[in-house]
Amino acid sequence: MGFLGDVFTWFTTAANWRGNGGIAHRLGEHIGMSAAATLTAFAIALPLGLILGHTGKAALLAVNVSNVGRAIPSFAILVFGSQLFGIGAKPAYLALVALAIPPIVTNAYTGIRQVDRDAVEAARGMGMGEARVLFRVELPVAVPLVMAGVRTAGVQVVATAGLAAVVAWGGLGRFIIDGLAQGDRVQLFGGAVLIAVLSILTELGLGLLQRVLTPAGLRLRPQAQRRVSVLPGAAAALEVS
Amino acid sequence: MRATRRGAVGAILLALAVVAAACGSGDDSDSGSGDNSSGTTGTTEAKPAIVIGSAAFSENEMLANMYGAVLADAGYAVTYKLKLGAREVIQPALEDGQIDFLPEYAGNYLSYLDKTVGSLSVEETVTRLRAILKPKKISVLDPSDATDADAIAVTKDFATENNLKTISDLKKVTTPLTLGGPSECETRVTCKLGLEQVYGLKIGFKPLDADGPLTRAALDKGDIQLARVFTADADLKTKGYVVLEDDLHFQQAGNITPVIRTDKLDDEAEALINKVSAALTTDKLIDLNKSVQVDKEDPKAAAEAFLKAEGLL
Amino acid sequence: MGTSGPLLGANGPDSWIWWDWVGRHGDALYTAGREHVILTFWAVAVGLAIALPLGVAAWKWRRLQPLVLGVTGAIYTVPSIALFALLVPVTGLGRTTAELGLVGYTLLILIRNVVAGLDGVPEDVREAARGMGLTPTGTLVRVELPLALPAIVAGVRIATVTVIGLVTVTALIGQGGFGQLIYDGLLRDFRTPLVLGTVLSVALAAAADVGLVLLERVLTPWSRSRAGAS
Repeated sequence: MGFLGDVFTWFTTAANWRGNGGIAHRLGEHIGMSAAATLTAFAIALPLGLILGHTGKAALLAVNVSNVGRAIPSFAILVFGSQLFGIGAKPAYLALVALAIPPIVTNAYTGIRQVDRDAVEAARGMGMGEARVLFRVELPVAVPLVMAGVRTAGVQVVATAGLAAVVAWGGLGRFIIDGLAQGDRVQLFGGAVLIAVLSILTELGLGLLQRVLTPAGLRLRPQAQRRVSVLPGAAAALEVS
Repeated sequence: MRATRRGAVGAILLALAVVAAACGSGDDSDSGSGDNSSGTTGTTEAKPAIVIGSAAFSENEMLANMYGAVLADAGYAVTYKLKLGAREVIQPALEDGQIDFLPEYAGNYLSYLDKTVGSLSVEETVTRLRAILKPKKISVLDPSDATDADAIAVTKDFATENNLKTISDLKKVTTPLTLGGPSECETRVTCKLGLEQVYGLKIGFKPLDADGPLTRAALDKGDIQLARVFTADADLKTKGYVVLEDDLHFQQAGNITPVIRTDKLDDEAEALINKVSAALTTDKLIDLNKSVQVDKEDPKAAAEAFLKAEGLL
Repeated sequence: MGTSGPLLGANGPDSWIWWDWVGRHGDALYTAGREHVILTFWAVAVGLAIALPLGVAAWKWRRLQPLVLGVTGAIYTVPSIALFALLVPVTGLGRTTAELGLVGYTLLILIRNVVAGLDGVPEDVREAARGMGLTPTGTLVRVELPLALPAIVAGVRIATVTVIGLVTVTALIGQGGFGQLIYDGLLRDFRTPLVLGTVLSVALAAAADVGLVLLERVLTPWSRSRAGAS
């Protein structure tokens, strides 16, 4: 029947979907945790990035925090989480939030900074208060970059949540870690497929959200969009795609 | 300007070449004394290179270093591949020659190879192991008196509340029971499967780690009521855990039993390995575990200190 | 609960770094570092060797792009521990398995940046090259790739930092570099190697990043005169 046939059987056996260790429960855990962590990070990182971008303060920190964040191995973040907060969902959650904050901060900051300064001055000249300038002028233009940061964060969270099984959490990573330890390649492959698919869906879903939220005038033609991503340094910091 | 740039590019390429060259001479992991000379025996043949593997828990890592140190000291070219994972991962590697030597545990190893075997004496276990492994070209060396077997532990409070002394006593418990242990415990007859089959218990399972900090934290927290621990743990008493007696004997003989690929085994290596196994006792093993697990001594350093104290190094 | 070991007695189980441990384990740290550097170097080098021709092909022949980006993208979404674990039965418990997985993860990043870099070459420059009599290959090698260099190096920077992080995961299959220290910290509930493994891994990533920025400056002297360049 072959290995792939076995995997297909694994997916189509009802018993594998039931119970606390079943596919349905693990999938729910994984999606719930990823969404919660990303949203929490968003709630913390977006205001921070927007304010720093608007005021122009802490430029060096804001631009580089995502580089530093990317450099910290997610394996280490998870183990630190379990050292600090014990076992269970809480340390995984906190570790994933910490992981998701940097790309959103950097992208929010850079998104605001690259808004045409003339437009901002004009708005101020028209008598708009700082908050209105931020929300009516700067933020809409920054949406593509902000959303790119959210996409990066979201996909990273989904992937790293797969590793959290090593520190005694559940989620889809359980199939991978348990499959490896039990010598059960079918389970391992099944888990890998599930996380990969979830990753792709997250990327696509957040990409769709980005299109919806981007003001019509800013939706660049594909050609121009690609040129944006070539900016040296910016490409490294922003991962615009 | 051009010359400076060329010079800089050249310098960078040179640096990269140095890094690449370092790769060429690099082994996969730590080496022992790595020397291939065989001055003491006077033979002109070089001694075989032995790759020593270990499972992903500190006692096994320490034992791997212990046997490796003795072999390296005698001139074998010892390299290590440590913390590889569960037996389910390491065994295939031993069978196809990626690693040559493992400090195994007689009963659990036999149970992995033959799931139908019940609980046997250590002599019977080793005999059967030898029979199964001979066609796989793996030699089983003398079992040590030192044992480290799987065991089921509960917190002192839980034992007192439910009046538990043996595993059979668990049948009286009315609240749901969850067992915590490494992932592979779920599918092993020496672990969760055995508890269900031999004792007729219905228990849930939480995959954690191989009797490490995660399992202990879960037991202390009450996420699990039963923990799969090792009998040679150094801190069972100090943490207030009660090991339940295996009255129906589903656990295996936990004698430390080194196994090595037959083509890497010569008489001298066999003698050295057996000497180390003979020097180990369960009490000394517990002491070693204390220094590595509790006092955070290096597995390698603890092993070498033991060997020196026993006059083996 | 008595403490009798010399290190534990002097330091305490909850402290984050036992400095005397650091002093005694210089060669373990060095070995781990060397393994980490070697794994990273070869992963990025091989990745680049594959990504350059693939990226050029995907750029020249648009129809290939979805396929190339799709396959490398698919690899990228597979969680790293799963990819390594799936390779183990095929390529064993050694460095090859780790390298194969790591190379896979560099491909999407590098190819995307090769394509983006080549896309960014202004059409008039290409025209000028054609006007000077350069063949398409000549144009590629002497004009387009050099101009795409900033984007390519940006990709190498991201790929390198990503790989340095992923190397730590290979500790779970017996490799790991500094990840071995992090893993030891997890298995023995021991903070010192955890902290050291993490700090050194980040330091390595920072050093590699800085080194690559300098390399880019050296390779693209013309960009220094452009205002606002990286």
